[in-house]
Order: sequence, then C-alpha cells, then structure tokens
Amino acid sequence: MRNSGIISFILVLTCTLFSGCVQVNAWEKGTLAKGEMAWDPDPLAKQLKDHVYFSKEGSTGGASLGGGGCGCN
Amino acid sequence: MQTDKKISGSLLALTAAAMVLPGISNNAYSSEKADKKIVRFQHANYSEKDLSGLITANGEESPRYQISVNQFQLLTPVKDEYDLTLNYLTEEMSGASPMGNVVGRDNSAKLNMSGASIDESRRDLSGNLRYFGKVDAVYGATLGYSSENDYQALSLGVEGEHSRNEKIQTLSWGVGLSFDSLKPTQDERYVRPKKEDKTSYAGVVGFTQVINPTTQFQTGLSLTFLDGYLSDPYKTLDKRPDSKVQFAWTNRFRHYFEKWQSSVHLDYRLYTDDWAMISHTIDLAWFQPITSDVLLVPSIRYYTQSQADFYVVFDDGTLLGDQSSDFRLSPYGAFTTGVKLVTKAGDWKTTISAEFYQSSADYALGKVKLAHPGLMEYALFTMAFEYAF
Repeated sequence: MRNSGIISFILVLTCTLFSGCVQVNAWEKGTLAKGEMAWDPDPLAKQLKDHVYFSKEGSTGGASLGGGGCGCN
Repeated sequence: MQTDKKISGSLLALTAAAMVLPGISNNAYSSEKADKKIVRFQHANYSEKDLSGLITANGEESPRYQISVNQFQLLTPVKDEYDLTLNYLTEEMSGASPMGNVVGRDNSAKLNMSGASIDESRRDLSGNLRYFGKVDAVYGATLGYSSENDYQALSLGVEGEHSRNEKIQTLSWGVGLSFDSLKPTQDERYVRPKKEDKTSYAGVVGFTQVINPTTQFQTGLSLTFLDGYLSDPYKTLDKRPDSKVQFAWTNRFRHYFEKWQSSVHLDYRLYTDDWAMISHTIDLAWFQPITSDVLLVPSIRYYTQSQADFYVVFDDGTLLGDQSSDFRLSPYGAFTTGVKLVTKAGDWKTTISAEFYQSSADYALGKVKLAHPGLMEYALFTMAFEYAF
C-alpha cells in the first residue's frame, strides 16, 4: 500500500509539472546553464557515490540522462 | 598486518562492475560539447564502522572496509565535432568481510567474519567519445575495463540524445553490455569455483523537459538483464539464481530560486527486480552560494529496500534451492547526510565533502521480518580539484 501511494504521488507530481510547461527561448535559459543547475554538477563525486551504492545496496540502475540545460553552446 | 587475498565477499561486490549500468556513460553532466580542456582529480577515503563483538560469531570486534580511491578525468574537445572523456580510477582496499551468518549462543544471528585482513587493489580505465555533428542530436560511445587479481570486466555501449524545440525537450537512449570474468582465489579450507562468467545487458530511455526558465524535469526507465554466475564465491554458503532482471524508474527535478539565488535538486528512483526486491530512493540537495566564489551544498538521501525472496538470516546447509545471508539482500532502510564546500579561483575549482551513511532495519519503509545483524555505517571524505584551460 505504501509503495502504491508513493508511485501515485510521483505520477501526480509528474503530470502537474508537465502541465505547467511554458515556451522557453534560448536567451531565457541562462539560469538553467548555471553549473549548479546541471543534472550532475560534480561528475567524479557522482561516479564514486553511484559505485558505493551499487556495491553496498541491493538495488541499482537508473543511469544519468542528458538533455535540458542551456542549449546555447 | 597479515595479508590475505582469499576472502573478499564485500570486496567482490564492490569491484564487480566498473559502471552502474554497463557501457552507459556517466557523461550527462552536460549535453553541450566541451569547448575547452578540463582536468579533474579526486581523492576519497571510505571507512566502514567496525563491527561490535556482540554480533560477531567469535565475540571479537572486527574491522570492516577501509578504501582509498583516486579518480582522474580529462575532458577535451576533439576537432570541431567531437569531445572525449577519459577516466582512470585506482582503489586500495583493506579490512575484513562477513563470510556468512551462524546461530549464536543466544539463538540470534552472528556474523562469521573472515578474520584476516584483506589487502586488494583495483584499476579502472574508461573512455567516452561524443559526436556533435548532427543538428539537435548527440551520439556517444563508451568503452571501459576494470581489473583486479580475481576479477576482470569489459564494458561497452552506445547512447544518443535527440532534442527539439531549442532543446526544450530531449529524448535520450542508451544500450550497453558488460563481460565479467571471475577467478576466485582458492583456499583449501573452502570449495570455490575455479572460473565463472557473467554477462550484463542494459538499456535506458528517458525524456527531459524544460518547464520554465528556472525549472527542468527528467524521467527515465532502465532495464538490465544479468546472466551467469551471480553468487558470492567467498561466502561459505551462498547460492543465487543465475539470472536477474532489474527495472528502475528515475525522476529528477531541478529548480532555481531567484529570491535566494539557490537551487534545489530532488531525485526519486523506484527499483524492482525478479528476485522480489523493491526499493525507493529519494535524494535532496540544496546549492547555496555563500559568496560569488563559494558554494555550500547540504544534502540528504533516504533509501529503503525489501528483501530478496531467497534471503535467509542464518546459513542453513539443509535448505534446498537458493539462499543468501548477504546484508545487501536483507530488508532495511538507510539515511545519508552530507555537506560539500566548493570554492572557485580563476580557472581552478576546489571541492571538499563529508558524507555519513547509516542503515537500520528500523528505517525500512515496510515490515521487516528478518533483520540482518550486520547492517552498515560508513563515512566518506573527499577532496577534489578541477582546472579548465
């Protein structure tokens, strides 16, 4: 029951987010281009932590994906 | 200190794969082509808390793993349409490992520790080449090799991104595979296989949406199939299925608060596999600038998993079929708290961080029937340098 509740919450959140999308022009994406807005701002730390969790926990998966960001370079 | 390379349960798992998803790169920190060279170096110290004598079979306190990690990375543009990332990692490990669980005098589960110090090292080299020659598309290929005295892994993969509407939406995909070979160190006291193999196949697909000038969201699915030897040869009694199908649904959210000039990172992952395990992971980080050149990043992570269907709290030689008393297959929850300080000076960036992990059956989201006695605590300290030129 708890699992299904969490999944439902995520689905509702996802739908809410996408329903709020607006057109964003290239010159409006300066904030998204900030280093701290990257999906993984610290690649070596990300690699290390993923490896530790992979080694010490029972579940893994969900590699990083690209996209988003500035799109202006 | 006595050196023994023969008993290495946790070690095996720690070094079992060069990548979380084989052949799929971790290069998604930027979808843009590198326009200058960047060199990164990180040193990390990983330290697990000693086990109390109250939960070991011989009643003596036992050390667990201490690992020293060095990571090197070079990111460089190559001609006009490519960039290349090279990674090199070294790990030096020492400590002791649980060989299994036995029934103690008080009828509770006790850990049977290896009793000798393990002294081991691993080397890992990988490269990722990306091609930017197509409009609104990026393609990449990854090759990696990991080696230690009893384990070798070769991984490769390809991936791509397709953007539309000025990169407001991006579709990402990747496929990869890994060939692993295990030659356990032999010990006349135990029966161990001479040589075993494992092959991993992974696929990932995802979608990224820029929601507004300060918010973006990403959702992705990954499917991994493992085929071959999946047991731990260094445990006294560990028999797992020879295949595993893993599924993960990952969601990531980034938002910038103009008012505080800060950003929040919120990630959630749902995981399940055909060993009956379900897990939830929530990551939350806050990026707070202190000055224009100093950034403070506190973070917290919550993780909870159910048990695998063949998990046992005691090793039982009379049981037929699969069984494992590995704590990784037991039901528990865990909290990670961390803080990171980033400073910039010209083309240099320096990062120091501290992170603390604590796991317990009491933290599990669902009901725990058989708690493992040897759940972990660790501390992870890092120092990193980055130079762009």
